[in-house]
Amino acid sequence: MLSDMSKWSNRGDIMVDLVVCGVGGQGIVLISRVLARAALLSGLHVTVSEVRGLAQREGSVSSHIRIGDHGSLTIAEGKADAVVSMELVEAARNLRYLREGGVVVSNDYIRYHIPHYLGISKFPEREDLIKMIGKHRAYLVNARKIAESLGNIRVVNSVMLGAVYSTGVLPFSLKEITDAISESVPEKYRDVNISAFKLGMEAVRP
Amino acid sequence: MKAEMEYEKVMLLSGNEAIARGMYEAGVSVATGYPGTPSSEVIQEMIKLGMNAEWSVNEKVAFEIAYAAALSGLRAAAVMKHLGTHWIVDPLAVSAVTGVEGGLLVVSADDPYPYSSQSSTDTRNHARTVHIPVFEPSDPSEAKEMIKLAFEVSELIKLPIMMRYTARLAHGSAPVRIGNRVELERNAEFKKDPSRLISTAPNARKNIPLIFEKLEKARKLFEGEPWISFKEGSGDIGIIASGVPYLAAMEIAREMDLPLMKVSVSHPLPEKPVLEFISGLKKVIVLEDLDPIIEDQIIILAYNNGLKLEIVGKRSGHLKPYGEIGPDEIRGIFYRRKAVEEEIPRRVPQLCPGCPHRGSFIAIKRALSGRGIVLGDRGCYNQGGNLPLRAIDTAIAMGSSIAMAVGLARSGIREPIVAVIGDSTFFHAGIPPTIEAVISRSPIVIAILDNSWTAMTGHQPSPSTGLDSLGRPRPQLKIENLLEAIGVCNIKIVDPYNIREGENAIREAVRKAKESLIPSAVIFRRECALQAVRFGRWRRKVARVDQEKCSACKLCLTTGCPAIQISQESGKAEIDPMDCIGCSVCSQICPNGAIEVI
Repeated sequence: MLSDMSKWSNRGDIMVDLVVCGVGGQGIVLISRVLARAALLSGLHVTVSEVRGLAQREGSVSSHIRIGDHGSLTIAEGKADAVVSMELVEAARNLRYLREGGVVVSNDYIRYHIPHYLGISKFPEREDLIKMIGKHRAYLVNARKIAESLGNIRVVNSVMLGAVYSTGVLPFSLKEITDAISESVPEKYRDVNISAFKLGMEAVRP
Repeated sequence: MKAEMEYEKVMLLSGNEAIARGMYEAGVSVATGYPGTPSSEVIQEMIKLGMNAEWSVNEKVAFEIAYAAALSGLRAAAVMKHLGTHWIVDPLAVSAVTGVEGGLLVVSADDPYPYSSQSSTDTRNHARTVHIPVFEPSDPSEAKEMIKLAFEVSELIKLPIMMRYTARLAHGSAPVRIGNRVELERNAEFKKDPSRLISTAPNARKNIPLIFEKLEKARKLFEGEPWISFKEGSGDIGIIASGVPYLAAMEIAREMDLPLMKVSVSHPLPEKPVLEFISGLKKVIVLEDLDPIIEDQIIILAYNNGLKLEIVGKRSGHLKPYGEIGPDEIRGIFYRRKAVEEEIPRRVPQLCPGCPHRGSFIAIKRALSGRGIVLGDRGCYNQGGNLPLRAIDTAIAMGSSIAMAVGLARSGIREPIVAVIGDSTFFHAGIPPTIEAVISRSPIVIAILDNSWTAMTGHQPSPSTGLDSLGRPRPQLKIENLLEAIGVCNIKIVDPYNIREGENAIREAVRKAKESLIPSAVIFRRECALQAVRFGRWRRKVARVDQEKCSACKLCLTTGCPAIQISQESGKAEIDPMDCIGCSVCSQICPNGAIEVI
């Protein structure tokens, strides 16, 4: 009765594990949806495990995306090929999933929570976060600035997808990933999202 | 994940969506439930599929509606989170005694971690308590197929079935093959059968033994596929797993070439194949979420059959008796886990920008000025217990605020006692304790935060909404009428966006309750801000901080509003116009008059 993965893995032993994370409202679900759709378009099995707690209410959000023939819905610590984060604190929080030689792609943005400002529960400062992330193959992307250059700050997710694609970690063709974006966003925002994706690709030169 | 993600009749579905789809394909006629993470999307999806599915006032009512439909020969289901399942055990036990005509399924979502629950409990225990089978799917595809099988088994043995799944599966998505709906063409027909359905003690004594006959029949059925399945491996160490842990076990078994057995029904356990599997082993590792239910049965089975094998799991101390069993926990049995580096502090969730509860809580805090005890309940307003607001002293179970307030009064506590409860929670479990408060002459204040939705779980309609799940009008219950009928005194309705008004109302309510020895009430009434903005019933405004007037005192931050941030350069407050809706609560707090709402 389990979903039969053998039908899907028509591309041999491709297995890619991704942790996508950020703060509620940053579009983690959208990014996960695009990646899952691209996997299906390219004929690969995929699972997505979401931890949505309090999305609207400043909570941490993450999802584990497993492309190829796996088993567990969640990725074991030290096994992820990439951590993709919309926010620096969340990138650092999820580093424990990253495998040796794995890649971190993070939006260069910090969202502090209110207790931090009141000195009750302090987050690390930017320099410390960058130091933590910098122990790995890491790319910082100023997604907001790139999105602003296109006149639509809502395309930050597509910028990040372009950046991740550029690292070579995703087992999709350019057409598969851009088709997945086109199918996942409202029609009138397709072009601007594809432009954002391309600028995101250019922002990362591995 | 969205249901429209279709790929050759295969869709990427979450566990919740797959369960809803299974209900659809199984030809379920009546589906009920009460919202609660992680199970809420099931009923929502069924409504989207055009099924006869609707939210009930609480889980017990939901179950009894489904039970009656099943007694009438229809396929019926009740869906709830584990905390709700505790509520239904009384009628569920009787449904096992009377048996059912049409298939009856209880879908119970456990939260092992827990991600969104005040406790973590294994509802498979309830299935054992009332003696009904319990199924445990591992992935969305299996969840969908198992729903269909559950109805067939229920109708074959005439017992209700429970399907226990977990938060991880509820929100985990995988490709699922879509099937057609079976057209059952059944009409509801209630057959009177007093010796069964009037379940008095003498009748129950006659019918209880039948349950065990049915269970033994079921046990035989479960001895083959798909209830159990094997994967070959070498050596004399094997794994037995159920539910979500099976998926991780599959990876480890493949990696280490271990024989693996999947058990999809833990009660009644298909003992024969389990015994055969463990007979050839020196060591068996048992993996299941929450209580060691399969593990304990294996221990007994091994003992009764004189097997001398090592049983590794929760009883042996290799796994913790709480929390989720994921790949790291399983690896921990074989390898030493790397110590986790220093943790980054947890993000503290807050009430949303513009949330009416913020003003209500500030009003209550100001009125009590540091004295008194504020008992909270279950809902969005739990975020009001977080720093910096910290406006409630407890958050226990549905309806506990009022009952525990009575308990404190009865214990002789003389300070002001305020019970804070939301509208949906009040209808669910707040009415009997309100009656208790009146008849026990408890001088407490009942503060009802009426935002007219079951907001926390995704804005399901509450009895105070006046609309059903499809947005059609239905009777709208007024909490003040209920309170008045029960005999509560001094019922005041205030606007949460007006702090002074709320503050005065609470002060008066404390005084009146003390004077009259009758509970008093303040209803803070304003629609959930997310809904009000979504439906255009609140016209967005924006609060702006006058940087000249701001003294950087950070008092506005103590409201816990996520729209307010502190500038790195000036240390003064800034308000994000994207987040702010202009509720004006922060401007009422600011001692310098520096915040203006435009």
